[in-house]
Amino acid sequence: MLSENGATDRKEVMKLLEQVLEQMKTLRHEYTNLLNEHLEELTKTYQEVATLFELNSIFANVVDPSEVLETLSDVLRQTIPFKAIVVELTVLGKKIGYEKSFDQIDSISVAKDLLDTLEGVVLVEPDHGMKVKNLLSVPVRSGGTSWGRITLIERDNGIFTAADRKMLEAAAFQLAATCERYTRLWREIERQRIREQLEIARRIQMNLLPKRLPSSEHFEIAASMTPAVQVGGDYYDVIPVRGCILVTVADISGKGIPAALLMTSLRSTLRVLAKNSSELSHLANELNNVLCDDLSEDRFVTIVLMCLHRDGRVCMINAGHNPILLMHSDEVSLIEAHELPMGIMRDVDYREIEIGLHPNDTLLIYTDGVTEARNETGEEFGLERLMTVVKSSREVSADEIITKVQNELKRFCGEAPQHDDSTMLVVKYLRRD
Amino acid sequence: MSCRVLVVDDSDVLRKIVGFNLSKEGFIVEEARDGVEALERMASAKPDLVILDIMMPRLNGFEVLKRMRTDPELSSIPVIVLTAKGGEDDAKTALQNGANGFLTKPFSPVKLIEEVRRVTGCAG
Repeated sequence: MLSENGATDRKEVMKLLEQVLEQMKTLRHEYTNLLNEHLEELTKTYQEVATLFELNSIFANVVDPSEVLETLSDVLRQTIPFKAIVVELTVLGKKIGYEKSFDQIDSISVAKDLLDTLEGVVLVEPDHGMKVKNLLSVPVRSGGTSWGRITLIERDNGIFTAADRKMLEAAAFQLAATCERYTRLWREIERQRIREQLEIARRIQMNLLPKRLPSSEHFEIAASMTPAVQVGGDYYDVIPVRGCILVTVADISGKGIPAALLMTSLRSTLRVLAKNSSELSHLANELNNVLCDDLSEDRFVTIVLMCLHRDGRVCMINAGHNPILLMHSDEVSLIEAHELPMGIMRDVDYREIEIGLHPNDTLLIYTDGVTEARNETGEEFGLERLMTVVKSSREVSADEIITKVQNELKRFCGEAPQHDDSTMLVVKYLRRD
Repeated sequence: MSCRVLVVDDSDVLRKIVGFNLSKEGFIVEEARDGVEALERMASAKPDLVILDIMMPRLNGFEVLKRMRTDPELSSIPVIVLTAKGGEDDAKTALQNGANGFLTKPFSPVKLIEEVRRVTGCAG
């Protein structure tokens, strides 16, 4: 009886043990599955972190966005198993595109119609009735600029996830930053190139001014020009012609390259006409007609033309230019413009006037960059100040007068930027024969 | 026959991630928590590949690599080193000391499998 009972008990214990063992096996299996699920998830996260690091590293070392698109596609595909990728960008007005299909079916062509209509973030899922099974597209945008978009077509094994979208947006963010950096860099290079070309233009223009002014025992002549930007529309020249020294100072309306080009044209014309004109008025009439042909309607030239004769006679035409300063004894007087600026109306009859200089008399011809120079408070240097400087310069040379005016201008303007070209020409009459 | 890979890293999580991904691809995975334990395991059973972290307590990865390459029993075992981000110098040093490949943390598990297959010639 006892032994029978004992056998029954043992059987029951064994059965119980088997049940416990089975439960433990099931639990172990469940825990293993759970652990694997977690490890799967952890692997995904680790893969995403690795991809983000790799994207950072790729974009940190690239300047031109077009150079990175293939690598971007490969890196993204480590995390998101898509079948095709389309990147469309417009940078500096140029279209940059990249397409790659990883399967036999041409899913890009299938999705092409759809791609043209996309806006914002688009997540197409299988039940949308589209030709492609699914699609994820994000814009490439930074600040207010839209550079384009990245589109992934058809995810293997399922639909695109929120994690896929975040990853793609991170890539798009980096790509946008690269586009922006590239644009800024390119513009800076372009600015630098223009600066260099303007510097060359400035040197060419400065070379067109007389390198050495003609020396004369009767006249001392000095001149200076400071363009406001690298090139400008001021011009002066001193040309010995038959019987006199032709002196000219001109200001072409406007600034920069257009004014500088017109300045070169004015110089060539004047130099040709000066050789062939016996009278100043004839020269002025011819010059005005040429300028009327060359200048557009909104441009004109104010100009002073002077013929210096050794006996002190000065024939001059002031065509719309600033008043000329004449210093005689201790007095400074003004010779106002008496003719129209040139380049406005054809066939004007320019008349010359004549004055007589005495030894030590001085003429100062200048452009409005001198009198209209402003200080930091916006105040103009003005004609009065200029006259005062000239008045205090009776005993000094032509060169020194220019230096004195320049110093006074510098002191007056301080750190204020120069807005206009500034030209001065001083003629000092030394003696008669 | 599956290849045996010894994963040596002091980070439990990283060992599990690497082990999990290798196991999924059919590799047999063994683990060691530091350099000393790694050399003990290699002495008892030679693996087909060692994935070796550099920064470890007790015995670092460079020292393990050096000892492996001077030990006739272990010198032929291929080694892939794991270096920290920005540790390009470490990778260079490891390659000069006989490592067969390197991965920079955080590395792509996809790339890890590719690298393991390249170095061992084992599919899994």
